[in-house]
Amino acid sequence: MAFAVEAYFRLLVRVTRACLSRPFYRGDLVQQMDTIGVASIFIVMLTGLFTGMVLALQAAVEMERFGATVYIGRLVGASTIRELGPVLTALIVTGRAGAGMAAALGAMRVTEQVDALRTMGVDPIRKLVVPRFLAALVMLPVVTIIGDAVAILGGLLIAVLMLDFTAQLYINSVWETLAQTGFVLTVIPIDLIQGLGKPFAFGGIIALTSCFHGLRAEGGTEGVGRATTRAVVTSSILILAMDYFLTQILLTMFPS
Amino acid sequence: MSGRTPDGAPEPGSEAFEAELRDEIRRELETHGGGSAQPEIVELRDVWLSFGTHEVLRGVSLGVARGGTLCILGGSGVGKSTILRLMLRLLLPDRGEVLIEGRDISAVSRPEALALRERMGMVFQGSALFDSLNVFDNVAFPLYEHTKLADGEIRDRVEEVLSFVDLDPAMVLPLLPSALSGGMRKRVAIARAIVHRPPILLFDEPTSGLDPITTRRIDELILKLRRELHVCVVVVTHDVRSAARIATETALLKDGKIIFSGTPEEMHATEDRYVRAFRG
Amino acid sequence: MRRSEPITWDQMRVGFVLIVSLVLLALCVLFVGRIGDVFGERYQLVALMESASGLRPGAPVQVAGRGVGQVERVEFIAPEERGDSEAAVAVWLGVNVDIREQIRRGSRARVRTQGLLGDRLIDIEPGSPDSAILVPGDTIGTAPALSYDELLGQAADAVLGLTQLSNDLSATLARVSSGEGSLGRLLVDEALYDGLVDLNENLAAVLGPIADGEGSFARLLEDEEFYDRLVSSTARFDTVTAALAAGEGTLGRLLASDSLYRAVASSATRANAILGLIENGEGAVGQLIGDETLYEEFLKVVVDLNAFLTEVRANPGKFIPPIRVF
Ligand SMILES: Nc1ncnc2c1ncn2[C@@H]1O[C@H](COP(=O)(O)OP(=O)(O)O)[C@@H](O)[C@H]1O
Ligand SMILES: [Mg+2]
Repeated sequence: MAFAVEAYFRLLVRVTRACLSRPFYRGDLVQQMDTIGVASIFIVMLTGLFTGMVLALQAAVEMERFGATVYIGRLVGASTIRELGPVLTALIVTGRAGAGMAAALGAMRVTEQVDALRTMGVDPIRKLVVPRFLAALVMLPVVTIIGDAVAILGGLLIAVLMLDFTAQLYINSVWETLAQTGFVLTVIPIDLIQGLGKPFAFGGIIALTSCFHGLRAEGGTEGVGRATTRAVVTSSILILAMDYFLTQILLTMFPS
Repeated sequence: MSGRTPDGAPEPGSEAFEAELRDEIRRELETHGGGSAQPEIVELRDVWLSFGTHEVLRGVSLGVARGGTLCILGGSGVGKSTILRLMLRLLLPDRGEVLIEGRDISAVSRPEALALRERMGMVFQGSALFDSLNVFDNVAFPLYEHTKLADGEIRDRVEEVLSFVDLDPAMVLPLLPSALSGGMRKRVAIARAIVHRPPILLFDEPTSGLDPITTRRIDELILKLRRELHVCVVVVTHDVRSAARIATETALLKDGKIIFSGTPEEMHATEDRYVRAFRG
Repeated sequence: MRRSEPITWDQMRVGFVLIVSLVLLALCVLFVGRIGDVFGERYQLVALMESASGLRPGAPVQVAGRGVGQVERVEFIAPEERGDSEAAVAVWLGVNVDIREQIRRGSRARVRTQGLLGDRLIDIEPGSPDSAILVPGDTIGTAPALSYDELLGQAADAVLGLTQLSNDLSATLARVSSGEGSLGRLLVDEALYDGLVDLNENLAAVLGPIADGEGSFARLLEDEEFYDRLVSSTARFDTVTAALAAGEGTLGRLLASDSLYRAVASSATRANAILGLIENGEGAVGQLIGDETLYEEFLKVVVDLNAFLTEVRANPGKFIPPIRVF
């Protein structure tokens, strides 16, 4: 266990170093951005839509009692952008792309393709891990933005169709709650720092964990299955734990 | 050799002249080498290696000279693949030396190790083709990684080696490895291993899992490699008949040690009980 | 792979998604910025107040209920600079230049709470047209944050409630100290005495073997450390009882309660009646107790349980499920 943690951090160091020096495989980066980000968009949008709708519905039930349904936009906006958007998106991408990464690298490992790369003088970290790592760092915030947008739209649907809100009122209250937390550098809402910083970190976790377990796969096809399970479970847990610590850190940095 | 000076050659005595001379001598040696005085190109000297508490190699020494084919025989799990991994510097020995072209590879730096690996081509047991790339990209991979050749030249080289391994380039180039039979995959793997023209070729059980006819074809291909490309070949196998066809030297590995080494004829003639038993 | 690559589908898809997300992000920053009014040019006004009332930087500034800016910072005024005014904090307001002529000499800034969540904001009354427009850096007049009458009214209610509570408390304490209530009656009850004598006899029967040094309990009695612990817990028990006797704490009040005593007495009577019925073999419980087969069943369960526990002790790994994360 302690050995695995050490190896994990050693991988992080190697990947970071490899990111900063040549050779760099640009084609693989774009391809990974496609498989990690673009391919996950549909499912992320679906998740976002239903999350936003259910948030609005729950908020309506609860706030009706205080006659505070005007706060629905605020509740959907704030909880989506700060928490649910980043975390749910990361978990979905873990299940979809993280599992794929671990399985692909695991299969390459047990069929000696990783060794083949090394015999051809190619560093597997650069060729396999770095593109996935960078792609996840970039694409997680990107798909989270899209997921958030769909979630807020989902809330809007409920607010307009079931609660007789005007779209304008709803959307304005979403913007209001973001404006209220304050700004950094005068124009960037602090909530957006939180809402984009988290998926950035989660992207790193997903790629690193999945590659880590994939490259350690051992024992044929069964080993690949085990590596995939491990990758998904470990990154899910790390994401949830990291979410807590990041929230704590951001609250300390930007007290509201 | 040195008397022959082609047109437009550099002035005798200049640095460029000497470099060219050295190149030419090397080419000559590669073409006509194979004499008994040849230094060993790949050599293991008293190599020890263990995984955890499991001692896999306990003092292995072997070698093969330029133009030779060494077959390392042994049961499964004795450490045959491990020996190849040591030669490729995918593993480092606990003790002893691994020499490639006379240099101890455990002592070289990382970039030098990369350069050394370019001197070798490896055909893995399961072929280890990259399954996300088609045949062309697989075979061209080492060229894109290590040479500055243009697209056209690379295509020519890929088609040339595919023809060498008796595959029809036009047919197989766009296929993915999953669409190939085991024998074809092995041929593509061989093509990938020789495309950057390494002087040393390593094979890990090239014929295991193949039918007898395909096995023969692959054996003939290995013979053809030595005959036509004059490379030094190390083959790991448990197939004695195959070894008898292709080897110039054999070595039998058991319990972490080389218990027999000699020519295939010597192996055939030996009285050693285990060797005879292994020979079947 | 190729040296010269044409633009591929995946590049186009990735590019498209990147652009869409950047546009969404830009829109968000733009709209939020508009609401938060961070793009417009602003000028500063300062309001001197006795209390910031929880105002924070970023709190909205409104004129006649419409948002026109934000609180920029809240600073203490050094005591020596206060002079004869009561103001302790200077609240700096950033106000949109477009509405400059609304805010004049006579304008009053006041802290208000808005909405269910009690958000704090600054509301400014527009000034009358005949007074001068405030220029950047001017001090704006203030109005008290809260109505004092309302506050005092609420405080008076609270004080009355507290007085009542303390009166009740002292009455109760007086009764406990004079031995009234269930505590006192418990002390003079004959039945309790008889019960205690019975208990004593039973105890003697149980303790006999222990005094003779039989069983593990007896060994416990010879244990020095156990003795020490017993002494210390007795001491602690003493302090607790002392506190109880003095009628302190909830328990003391409970003991002084008459109705509690009556409730206990009546449930004891009822329990007696039920036990009588059981003794006569009446009702389901009575039958159960009289039933031989039940006894045997029970014995069997005990034997089985014993065997099971022996097995567990000999082989604990078998019964503890392995904890797996994967
Ligand atoms: N990375 C490794 N870690 C631990 N043990 C290994 C490793 N690689 C090989 N071994 C062990 O070393 C022995 C030799 O393996 P190998 O060289 O693959 O045998 P073979 O002769 O069949 O090719 C086997 O018992 C194997 O279990
Ligand atoms: Mg092997």
